[in-house]
Amino acid sequence: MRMKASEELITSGHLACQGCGGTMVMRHALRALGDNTVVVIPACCWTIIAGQFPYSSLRVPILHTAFETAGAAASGVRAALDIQGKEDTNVLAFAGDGGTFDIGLQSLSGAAERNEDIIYICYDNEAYMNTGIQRSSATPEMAWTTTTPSTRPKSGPKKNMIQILAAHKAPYCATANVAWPEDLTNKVKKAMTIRGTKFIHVLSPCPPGWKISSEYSIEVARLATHCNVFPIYEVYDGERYHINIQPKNIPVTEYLKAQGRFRHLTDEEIEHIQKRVDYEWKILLQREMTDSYHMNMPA
Amino acid sequence: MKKVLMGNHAASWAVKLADVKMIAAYPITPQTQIVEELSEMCGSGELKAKFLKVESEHSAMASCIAASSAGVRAFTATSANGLALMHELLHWASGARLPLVMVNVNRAMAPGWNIWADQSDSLSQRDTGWLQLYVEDNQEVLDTVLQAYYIAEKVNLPVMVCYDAFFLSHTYEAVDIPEKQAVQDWLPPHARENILNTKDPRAFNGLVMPDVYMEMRYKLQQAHEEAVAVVKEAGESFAKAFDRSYSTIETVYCDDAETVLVTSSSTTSPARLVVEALREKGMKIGLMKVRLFRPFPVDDICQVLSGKKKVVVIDRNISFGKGGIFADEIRGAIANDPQAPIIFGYITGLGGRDITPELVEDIVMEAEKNERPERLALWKGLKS
Amino acid sequence: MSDHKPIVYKNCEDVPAVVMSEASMLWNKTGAWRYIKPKYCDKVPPCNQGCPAGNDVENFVRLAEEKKYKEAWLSIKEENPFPRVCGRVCYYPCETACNRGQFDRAVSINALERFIGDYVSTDTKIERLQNDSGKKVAVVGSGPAGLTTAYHLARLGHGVHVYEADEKPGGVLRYGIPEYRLPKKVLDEEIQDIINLGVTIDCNKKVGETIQWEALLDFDAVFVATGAHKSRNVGIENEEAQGVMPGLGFLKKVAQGKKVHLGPRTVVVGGGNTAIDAARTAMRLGSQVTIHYYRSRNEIPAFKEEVDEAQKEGVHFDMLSEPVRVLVDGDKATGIEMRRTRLGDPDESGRRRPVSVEGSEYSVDATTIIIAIGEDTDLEYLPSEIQEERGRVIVDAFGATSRPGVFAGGDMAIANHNVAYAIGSGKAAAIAIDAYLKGSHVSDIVAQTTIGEYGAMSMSHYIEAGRAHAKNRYTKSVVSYNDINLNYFEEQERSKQTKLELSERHQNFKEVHQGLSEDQIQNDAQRCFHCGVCTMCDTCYIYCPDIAIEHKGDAAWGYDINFDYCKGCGICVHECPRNAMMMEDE
Repeated sequence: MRMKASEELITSGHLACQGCGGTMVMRHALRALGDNTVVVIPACCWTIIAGQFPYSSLRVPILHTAFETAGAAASGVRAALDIQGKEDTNVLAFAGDGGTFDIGLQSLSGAAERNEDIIYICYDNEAYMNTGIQRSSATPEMAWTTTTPSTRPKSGPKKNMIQILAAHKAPYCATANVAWPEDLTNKVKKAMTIRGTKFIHVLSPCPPGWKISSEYSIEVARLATHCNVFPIYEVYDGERYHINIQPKNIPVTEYLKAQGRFRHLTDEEIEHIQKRVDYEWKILLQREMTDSYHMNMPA
Repeated sequence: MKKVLMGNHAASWAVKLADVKMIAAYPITPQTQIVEELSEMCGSGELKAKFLKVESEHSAMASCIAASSAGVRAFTATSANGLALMHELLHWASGARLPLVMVNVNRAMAPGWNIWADQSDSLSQRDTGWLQLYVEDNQEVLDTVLQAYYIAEKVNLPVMVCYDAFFLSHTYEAVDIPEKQAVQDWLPPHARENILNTKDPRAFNGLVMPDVYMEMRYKLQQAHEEAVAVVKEAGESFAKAFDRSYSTIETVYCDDAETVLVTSSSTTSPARLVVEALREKGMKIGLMKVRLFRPFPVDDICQVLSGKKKVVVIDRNISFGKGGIFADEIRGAIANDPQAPIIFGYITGLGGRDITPELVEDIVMEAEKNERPERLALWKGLKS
Repeated sequence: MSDHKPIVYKNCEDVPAVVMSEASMLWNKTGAWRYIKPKYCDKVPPCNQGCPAGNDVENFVRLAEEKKYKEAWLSIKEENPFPRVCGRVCYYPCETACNRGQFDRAVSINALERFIGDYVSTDTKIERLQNDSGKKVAVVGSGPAGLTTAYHLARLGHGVHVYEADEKPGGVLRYGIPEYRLPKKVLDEEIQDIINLGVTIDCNKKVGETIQWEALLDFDAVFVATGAHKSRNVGIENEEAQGVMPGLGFLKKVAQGKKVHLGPRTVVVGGGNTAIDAARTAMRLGSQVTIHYYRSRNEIPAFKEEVDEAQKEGVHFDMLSEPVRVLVDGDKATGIEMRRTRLGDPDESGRRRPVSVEGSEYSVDATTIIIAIGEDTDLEYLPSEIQEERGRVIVDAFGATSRPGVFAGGDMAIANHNVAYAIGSGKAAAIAIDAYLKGSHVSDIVAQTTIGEYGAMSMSHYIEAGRAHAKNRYTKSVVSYNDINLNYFEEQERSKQTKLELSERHQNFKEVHQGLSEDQIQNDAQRCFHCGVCTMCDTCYIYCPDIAIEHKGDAAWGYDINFDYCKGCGICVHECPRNAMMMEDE
């Protein structure tokens, strides 16, 4: 879908770094959502990207809100719109991984459990990038950040947010990747047709935080999926899994070697990550195979 | 229509009369019955509002802020730890200039766990930019919640209505419930500019650089200063409509008093009895109830207290390391008055301990006896 | 809302009480962050570089993909008057060069060209590009080189008179390439397009016999392209015997419809295309055919596909054998004595040299012996002022000879004896002659008209040389396989041409290759990488984080980069699937 810059709901002049993935996520999401949308942004890179007072880089209303409140604030906007008869207005909560995986998990859980009619997009750059690359629970295992130095990199695997949302029986959960913009906009469009809480987890490369040159932003994001590090799939009603992009099963080392944040890894550590990735991928395949399509909930 | 209502239900009735459109709630004793009643009202359809059963007070305030930003009247209620959890967002509500109303049923802070009356919870939120009103009885609860919306929407600031746990919250009193139509005639419908509007898309609460942040804070302070008059005006117009009058403070026998007893909330009721009794005994004593704590009605208070010999302040709260907070505020307000009285600040009734007329009289007589207070924070009622 | 100017609050009163936006961020020209910037620049696809005729291959494939077959045909015709001929007889160096070949298999460019030509040509006219210049050019020889020169010169507005020694135009296309590879009807139709441009083709006129060289000098310029059609002799005993004939002579007689009696057994000596053509033609005339070649199958110079087809059709191959003498009965050949060879060290061409194995002689019965070991030029009619070397006229890259105003091309001037090179040399000469006639010098335009490193010329670049947008074109930078962003492509099967059943290839000259269907064409056109050429695939546009790339408009081609906001992240260039962009310093 081609649009003129003046028709896009995000304007140039925003304050994102060169090659910012999170900015692309917003752009693709709004291309699908259209202008009848209210965006709720907790503390995250987008607090800055949206521009300082008295400006905005979006042509839809934004409610900037506290770090941990995306789920609750989106719920509040939803309630206020509904009571005013504006059920057709989309409410988009747009949060980073810190605001989703960590500090905002509670209010997101609350919103998902109440099945609020919102679309929640987490643009995941895998650390607190806005504050200067501190680890979050979305930071991948063994990655360097400014709080997980390469002498003591991040221990333990990345939190699986989709599983958490699926456990809430959210009607629609999906992962996406900025390298596949059409898949992302299609998922947002699909989310718009489903009532309840829709959660879309989008891998969003951060050139300064991942220690990559800005032009590699998309390439590295794409590798994440083709190496099975970040599979692209949907979960309907918390149960039915569907993988959307068939990965090329490239060795994970290709992905890791492309980024400065993994530069310190030894061959043994890469092997360990490969095993974990293989294991997780197998589990995902099993989930897809054993989905409960035919086991409808009793009405 | 008169009904016998507990204080909490008086608050619920006010919310219904104010035609609030969005209520977010999380349970905490002693506030819970407010939202239980509202939940019933929404369930039965007598109140057409969204009722959001959030997972924390923090989210309650976050969603109220959001709903208010989207242009509807919102309400929540809490107490003690719940209010403390909201702390960050209280700044958001005032900084965003939102006309929210919240009831805080004053309860002691843990630990140890204590669910009984104590004002330290709301007074800890003194600097968050909210207006705070402390009320004495159940009728005032209902009337003040209504006035709170009136005031909030005139000054674009959030208002907290505070009353004591159990002494009001769970105590039944006869409450005159105004007619819905009368309330609608008095309280203008909620209509604000500067809301989330897809037809005029704006970004709210974004990044503010040092070059204008201070000016915006100045405007917030200005709004507080102007709110004193608005509170009075609200009380006056409310009196015209409903025949019950309210202001920033209330005084009894203060004109010729040499000693003025200062109270707030339910402590005022035993104090009234004591002051009546002492007047009958010929003591030149008056009573000042402070209803509006933020903005602090400095002029009104100084006008009453200037030239008095002694002022005795009873605080059911404490700012540790200093003392009673009302006493401290009054000292600060009157410090530059050349006719400033001697101020005795008493701390008592913490954590729900009864403040009986005998205790109040004890305090007054002790202050009467001493020329000056022995120390800044005088404690009364401690086990001997 | 003033979008492009920052808002200034003059005093405290001015500052709003609410943190609410009043304008967009468009005032913030983030282009100032940039130190390196992207640029659209089309580069040379390897197919274009690989095409000796200078076809804009990528362009016609793209047009075909869009089902704009007429435009695709016109695109080829801009460069080459013979899409239908080339789509049949070219050995497609474009496909050898095709980057897709390293990914899965090359795009079926040759079959695409044939499809486009066959689909369109009969009802569409080629227009002249320029009005009559008043200049007259003589072209000697109506083979692919001569006709190409005539065609382009006529389009450029010049009067052209072609002299042809034979009774019909076409040269090797008519008399060398058999009907089953190139039907005469196809050739006639494409020659008719040239005649329709006003070109006169004067047949049965041989320079030095029916017309004198000096007469040609009355023209403003002369182009000679009389090919190489003097068959070489082996130089063995009894080579002049009855029943021994040269390959090209044999093919020409068949093409002319003359009766040729071969007898039951034909021996063909040689391994070039003429040998294979002769063998397959003899086979169709009902003779059993054996090809004798003095190296092995690996060294055979004929197109591999032709060799394979010959074998399938029943032609026998006797490799590593060389002729010793023709066996005769009186003056009639009855067979040939052959001798085994073995492969020695490589020669200068890199192929292993055959070495005779003494004492390995053997006899082969034959009713006809066709000698097809190569052809030489005949330069005798040229005046001495036109310099020659090793039987070829010495020319520069544009065909200019040592005599001003005289140009030469085709097999008589260039080393590569095949149709595509001949067409390329004809076009180069047309450009040079046009420049010569206008008094300009080709050295001024060589950079813009040469595509890639191998010397192919682009007529469209020549025509557009003066236009401003043409100056941004990169005519030298060729896109390699590593320049392609393979993430954007999936493996996809190449379309396969159907061929005439083997059982139907006897006693007739029906065309063997049947071409591709439209569906197959679409499949293959979609496989094209479009190396180095923007297809408006939107990859740059969609990935731009700064919304700084925009379409030029509904009707226009390409994108604009808004350098007010482009931060120079480089994603557009890095992601471009086909390397049609580049970064350059500010």
